[in-house]
Parts: sequence; structure tokens; C-alpha cells
Amino acid sequence: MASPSLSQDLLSELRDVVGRDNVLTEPGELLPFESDALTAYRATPAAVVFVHDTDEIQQVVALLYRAEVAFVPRGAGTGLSGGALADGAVVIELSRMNRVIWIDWENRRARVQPGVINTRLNEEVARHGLMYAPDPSSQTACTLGGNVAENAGGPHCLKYGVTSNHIVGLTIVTPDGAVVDLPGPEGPGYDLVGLFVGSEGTLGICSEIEVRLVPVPAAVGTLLAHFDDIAGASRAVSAIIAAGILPAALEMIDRETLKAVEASVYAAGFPTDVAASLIVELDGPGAGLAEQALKVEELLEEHGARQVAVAASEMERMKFWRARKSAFGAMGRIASDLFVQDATVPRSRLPEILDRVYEIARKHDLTITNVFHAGDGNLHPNIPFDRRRAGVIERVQAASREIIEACVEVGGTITGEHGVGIDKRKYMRLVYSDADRQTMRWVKAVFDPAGLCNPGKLLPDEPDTPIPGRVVDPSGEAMTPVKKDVVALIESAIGSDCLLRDPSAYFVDDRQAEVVAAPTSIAELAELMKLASSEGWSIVPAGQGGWLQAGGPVERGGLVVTTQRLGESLKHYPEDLLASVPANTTLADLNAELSKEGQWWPLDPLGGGTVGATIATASAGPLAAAYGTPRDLVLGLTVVRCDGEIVRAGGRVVKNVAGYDMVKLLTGSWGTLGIIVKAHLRLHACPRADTTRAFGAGNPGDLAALATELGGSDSLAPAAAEIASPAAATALGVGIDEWVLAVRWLGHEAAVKDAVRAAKAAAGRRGIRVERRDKIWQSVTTIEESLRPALAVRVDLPPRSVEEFIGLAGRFGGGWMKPLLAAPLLGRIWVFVPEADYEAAGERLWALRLAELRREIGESGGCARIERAPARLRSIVDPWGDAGPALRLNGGLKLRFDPDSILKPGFFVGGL
Amino acid sequence: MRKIQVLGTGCPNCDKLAENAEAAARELGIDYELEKVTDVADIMKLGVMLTPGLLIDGEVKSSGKVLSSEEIQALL
Repeated sequence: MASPSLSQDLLSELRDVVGRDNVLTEPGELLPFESDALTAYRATPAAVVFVHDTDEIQQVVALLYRAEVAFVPRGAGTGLSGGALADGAVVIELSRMNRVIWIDWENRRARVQPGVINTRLNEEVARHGLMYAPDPSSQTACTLGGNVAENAGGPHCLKYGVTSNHIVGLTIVTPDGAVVDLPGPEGPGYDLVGLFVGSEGTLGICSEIEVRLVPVPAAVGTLLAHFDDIAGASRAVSAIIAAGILPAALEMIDRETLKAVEASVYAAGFPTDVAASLIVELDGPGAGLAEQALKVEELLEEHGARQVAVAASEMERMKFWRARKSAFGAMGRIASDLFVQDATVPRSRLPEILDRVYEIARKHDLTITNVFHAGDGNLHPNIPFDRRRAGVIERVQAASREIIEACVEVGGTITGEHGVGIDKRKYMRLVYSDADRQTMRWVKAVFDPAGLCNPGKLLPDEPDTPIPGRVVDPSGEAMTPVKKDVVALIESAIGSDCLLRDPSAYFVDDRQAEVVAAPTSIAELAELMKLASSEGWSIVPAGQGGWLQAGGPVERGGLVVTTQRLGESLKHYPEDLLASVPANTTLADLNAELSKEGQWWPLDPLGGGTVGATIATASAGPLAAAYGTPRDLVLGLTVVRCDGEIVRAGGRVVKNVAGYDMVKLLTGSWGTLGIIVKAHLRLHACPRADTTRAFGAGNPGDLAALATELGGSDSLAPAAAEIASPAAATALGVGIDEWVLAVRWLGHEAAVKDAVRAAKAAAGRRGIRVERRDKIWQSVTTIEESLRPALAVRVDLPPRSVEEFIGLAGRFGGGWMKPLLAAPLLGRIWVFVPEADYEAAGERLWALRLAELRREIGESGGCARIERAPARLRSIVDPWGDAGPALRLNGGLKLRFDPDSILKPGFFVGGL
Repeated sequence: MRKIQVLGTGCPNCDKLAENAEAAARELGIDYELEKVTDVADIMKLGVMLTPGLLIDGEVKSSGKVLSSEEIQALL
């Protein structure tokens, strides 16, 4: 019998699309789809529809949208938050979309359908020495589509990052049935890939996923330590991280878990009389690994390890891991039911939070066992219970809530990797304010205005409150701010201190700014935003003013608002590898402060500038090859919205999947959605060795080939590699009339030494000259000071297309691309046009040249962005590139966040 | 009758644009109907992503700009 809520017409239309056998409606057939792996929640779907390709998803979604029927995407059903629950909705089943579409070995990318199982992708790519890094514990069963939906983590994400750090592109079907390619983080517009990952199937259905692959580490070292005291084990975790060692994984298993494992078929021969065991896994190039393992062993013993064992073989390593990986299975022996909790705390708070968890267990007369990712502070307290016992469910729920509250209290969050789903909506208010949640609802409304896509998940049910009342001045005069009005209004509403006496450092669209507002507190900035909204001014957010020659010319004048006087102090938490900093902190000041504790925020964008500007523009320099870009290094943001509301995105912990990833949306939003005032930064330990070599050659192709060889070898991969054209090399003070490749290695001394030796040998074989150049990176970040370019263009390409691009560069429009810097491991190229060269051609000619450039690189999937140019040129050439169908989503977000268009109107992609 | 729609949440720029649009229509002596669309979802549906937006007879004529009465006359 078909579910009464679906019409026979609709069912037959669905069958026409996917085939008769691919639509299930019988109660018996629907049974397996009543829950995901969190079986406490159950609901019956109206139907289950199996789809096989993007086209089928699109047609099915379009039919359901037209019929106003809710739908829920589903993969393997291994989720632990009730996120795949479909109460009366249609389940769109994706597990049969299990094709690996292509693997691009050279560029280390793969494109897959969402139903591909995590382990299967790894098996496919292993034959070329590559892996897909995120490894959730359910990886033998869970699908990549599910991993994308939940932003899945896993034991090895301590070093390699979570799903979000490995997804470079997505094709989605929007809830109204449109197929949209979401541009990756380097593409034009907002980072919609970053926003979509972790959205728990509430923003649409991803139908194709493009992932980044990484080389399988050359060597692995695994240690197992047993502790009599769980606090000692927690402190050992912090000590290892603080010593500048970044293990691939750092996992803790407590006594109760060990007992359960040892009593089960998974027994691994672990002692059961210890308080906790730690697994520490190191990986990387062989050189230096043994020495690091020795150091870890020392630290473990120093913190009270009773016994430390080092895996002598792969078999022994698997044995160490068996106890960890089978913990959940073994728990089945203790009781019939198991509640798996998931929360994250700053690493340094682990000892006290574990005490609290055991105390909560005692209070509620429950057993709580802990097995978790200690390295990222991601706890998984497990509560085994028997639901047949009276009152036990209530006690489990009470204990569970208390654990979450305790974690939030010490600066943690409500979920690190399992997601919010249906289960944790009730906790969202613990971590997000009304305004924070409102911004998340805006995101939902933009992607899914009809509310049909996985309804009732992720966000608590609450009405959307209108934006707080704006004071509308009925006279509403003159929108282009007249200097004296602006000054007078700001002085009377906020105070004369709010204006910068000397605005001469700020230029907007080639004009000297006449008035620059510099609020001295976040509250003042919020007042100023409200004032601008009510007066209809447009605002140009700025730090030091280094990025104001980018984007489209700003409509309605543009009042510059700088964050440079938002006086607040920087807070460094070395044990948590965390810094909380005001946006106006310069990168130079930040890293000088962090270096006192041997840490840094490893970004080296051109021009330096402030933390706020670096995040707003998603700027990164050569070091992106090793550490990624701001999206990989920012944990949380505080932003002032256009309506003066202060909102928080993300948090202070490394793993955080509570709600939409607003940090990704705001990073790289160029101040068009709000003004960033504070950031929680993810830090790294300063490397022990830092060595650079410069390689000179007459032919750039040889250098690109050398860089590729170094990037693919078994020794330490370069942390940065830049090819400078002869003109750029001259500006950097290296090389005369030749191409130069600068390569930087960071890490353990032995590994760096080994890598340099290998690089010299490789260069020798190619007849390339080598010299030592440790100071070159300073000149790279200040290259614009030496070149003074009138035009700077950033090009992003698949990495292996860089060589071809450099070859082409000389031939473009009479060889205009003279000074250029190319990163062959990243696929990023900067082209600089000095003032004199720029003036030698008119705007029209430059527009044609840029169009030619875009045409050429478009074929290989590249894009070009103007980062600096006179406003005359930016008004006739799109500075960002075509966002395609994703422009609609960009526009929707802009309109929701900035309904009155006061933040840089006309500046962003598509003239937004 | 011409249909003029001004899209915006009610900010001074939208009011000004509406005023200019009315002035333009009056100046040309055109029979017109003016509608203000203030709901963000409706604005989005009409294809405007930057306010204030101006639609004439259902067609987007400008967005993000406060056109003067003269400029609007040329569009009518």
C-alpha cells in the first residue's frame, strides 16, 4: 500500500524517471529506512527513490518540488545524529551512485559520485601511492556523499584535516531542482563548497564530488602507552602537541572500553587494569621519524606511562588499532543499547572534562566509557544501557545533556563530527545566540526557500524574527555621502573619536578617502553600521587599506571603515594551538607574539596586512602548499552585521560541525557580508628546521618539472615552491636574466637535510644551478613594493597546467606578462604589470588582453581574478570571473546578509 | 498603464528611488502604478540581488543604484 500522502500521479511520474523497481512504497520495504545508525529515533518515509545519476536526481527533485513534497537525501545510513530520518518525506537514496568518475593522477584529484564508499576510493587510489585522507571510523561502510553532508572527521584528521579540507568542488542539485556547479574555494564568489560541506543534506543534494588526494606517507611509526592515571594520559597529549610534534593520530581508550574489548572477539591483548591507553601514530618521510618517536616515548614516560610499546611491524600496528576501531562493536557485549555522544573541548581542558564525565556517570548511576580523538579534544563518551530497565532512558538523556553542557562551559562545542541532525537541535542555543542562528536560517532560506530539503534538521524550529527595527529618516536625502553630513552625523551619533584624523593612507577606487571612520570598540562599530543603514550610505570595510584597489567600483561613494583602532588584546593559548586575536592585528605582530611560545600562524600573503583583511580576502602566499589558506586556519570569527548585530561563527576548537560552516562563508567574502572584528586562529608549532634553496635555469619548463618531481618524491615535500620569471627574480634580488625556482622545506632537521640533498641531486641531473637563499621569502611577500604594479592578476589552474601556462605567458598579447610568480604545487600564478607598462596601453586593450587570458585558461578549468587595478579598468572588466549558475546563490546570500546593500555594493562577483 | 516596482526593504535609498520614479512618471504624464516590494524572499524571486532595485513592467532595469528622475524618464 502506498503512503497516503503521495498521490498516485506523483508516484507514477517518479517511476517514469527512475524505473518501476527503484521506487519503494511498501511498509516492509520502507522498514530499513526508518532510522540511521542513531536508532533511538525512528520515522517512516513516504517512499524511497533510488537514483543513478545527476539527471535523475534533478528530475526527481523537480517533481517533488512541484508537488511540494519534502525529501531527504540518504547514503549508507551510518549517520549518528538522526540526520537521515524522513518522517513522511521521500528518501532519495544515493548509494547506487557509486562510480568513480575520473582520477587525475597528476593533479591528485578525483571526481566521484556520492554513493562511493570511503574505503573503496582509497583502494582505487592506493595503487598510485595516493590516499583520500579523512577516515571516519565507519569508513568501510559510509559514503563520500554522507561524509560531505556531515563534514566527517576520523582519527587521522588531527594532521590531515576533516572532509572540508579535502573537497575542492561539488555539483549539487538545489532543492528547487537546478543543477549548480559550486565554485571551489579559489573560484569566483563565496566559498559555497565550504558552506555546503557539513550542511547535513539541508541545502540540496550533491551529485558529484571532487576531492583532493594526498601521497601515502613514506613511513609510519605507532606507539601504544598505558597509563595508571587518566589525567596523566591527557597531559601527555598536550605535551606532545606542545613539543611541536603533530602526530597523524592521537587516540585515547579508557579502562571500561578496554575491558569490553578484551572480553569480546576483538581482544587485542591489552591490559585491563590500566586507567587509559594512548595510541600515538606518527607519519611522514622516513628521515627523523625514529627520533620523533623517541621524543614521544620520552614525553609519554614523563607523564606517567607505565609502559610504552612501539609497533615493530605492520601486523603489530594493526593490533594496536584493533582495540580502538572495534570499541563500538565490543560495547555491544556490555549492554543491549549504546548511546554514543560526540563533543569537542579545547585540548588543554581534557583532564577536567573527563573527570566531569565520570562524575556525571556516577551521579546518574550509569557506566560511561570513553574512546576518542584526544589530539583534537574530540570526546566520544559512550553510555551503554538497557532500555528495558525503568527510567534508564531519562537518566541517559539527563547525563548526555550534562556532558554537553560541561563541554560548552569550558569553551567546547556540541558536536565534533557526528553532526546536529535531529538529535542535537536542542543544544544549538547553548553555542549560538539568536543572531548567530538567524544567519544560519538565512543560509537555509537562500538554498531552500520552500523548506522541502531535509526539513526539521540542524536548526531548532523557530520563526524567523525580522531584522530589528531600523530608524528610517523620512527625508531620506542624498545617498552619496556628502562629507560634512557624514562627519556631523558620526560625530553626533558616535563621537568625534570615531573619525580618523589622517585618512591619507586610504584610497577607494583611485580616489583619496575624505573621511575614514575608525571605531574604537565593537559596540561603536555596531552603532556605525546602524547609522550607515539608516542613512543609506555605502561602507567599505578596511584594515590597513591594502586591498582597496580590487573588485568592482563601489556604488554610492563608500565610507571607509577601518578596524585598525578596535583595541583589544591578543590571547594566545599555546597548549590548544589557538590564538584569539582582534582583526586589526598585523600578521607581523601576531607572529612575533606567537613565536615567544614557538608557534606561528603560517600564512605569508603578499603585502602582509592585518589578520582581518587576510581572512576577509582569503589571502595566502607560498606557504599555502604546506598549510593551506585561511579557510584551513581559522576556527571561529566574530562579525558585525549590517544591522549592527554581533554574530559568532565557528568556535575555538579544531573539530566543530555544529550548524552550517559560517566561517567558510565569511572567509573570502571580502567584507560584503559583515565586518570581521575577531578571529580564533588555528596555530602550528614553528618548524625546527627551515631551509630554502634557489634553482636557476634559462628554461622555466625545467624548473616546473623539477618542482613537480620534488612534490612527488618520498622525501619531505616542499612547504613552498615559487617560480619567478626573470623580471620577478630581479625584483626579488636573485638571478640575472634567468628563471628562478625557490623551494622551502620546513620540518624535522633530518627530514629537511634529506630533502635538500635529494633536491640537489635532482637539480644536478637536470643541469640546474643551486644556491642557498634563506631570505628570499621576505622579498616575495613585499614584491609589490619593489614592482609597484598598476595591475595584479591572480590565476588559478590545475597545478600541472602551470608549466604550460608559463610557456604561453611569453606569447600573450605581445608578452605583457613579464614579472610573474608561479606556484607549481598549488596551481596559483600572480602576474604583475608595472605602472609604466600599464600606461603604455589603454583600458580597452587591457580589457581585451584579460579576456584573452580568461579564454586560454578557461579551457583547462582555470580562472583569473584582478587583485589590483585602476577603477577605470575594473569598471569595464569583471574583476572576479563568471560564477555561472552559482551567482543566484551568491546573490541570495548577499541580499539576506545585506538587504539594504550598504557593504560595498557593486564590488563583488556579478556586480553584487 | 505602466507598472513600476521598487525593490528594497524600506531603506532611504529605496524611498529616494521610489520618489524619483514617481517624479519621472509624473513628468512624462504617464499613467502608472507604483509597487514597493519589501520582502527579501520576494525581492530575490524578482531577480534582484542588490537593492534598491527598479522594475518597469516586470523587467529589471537597475539594481544597487539610486537612479535620478531623468535617468528613469529615459527608461519609461
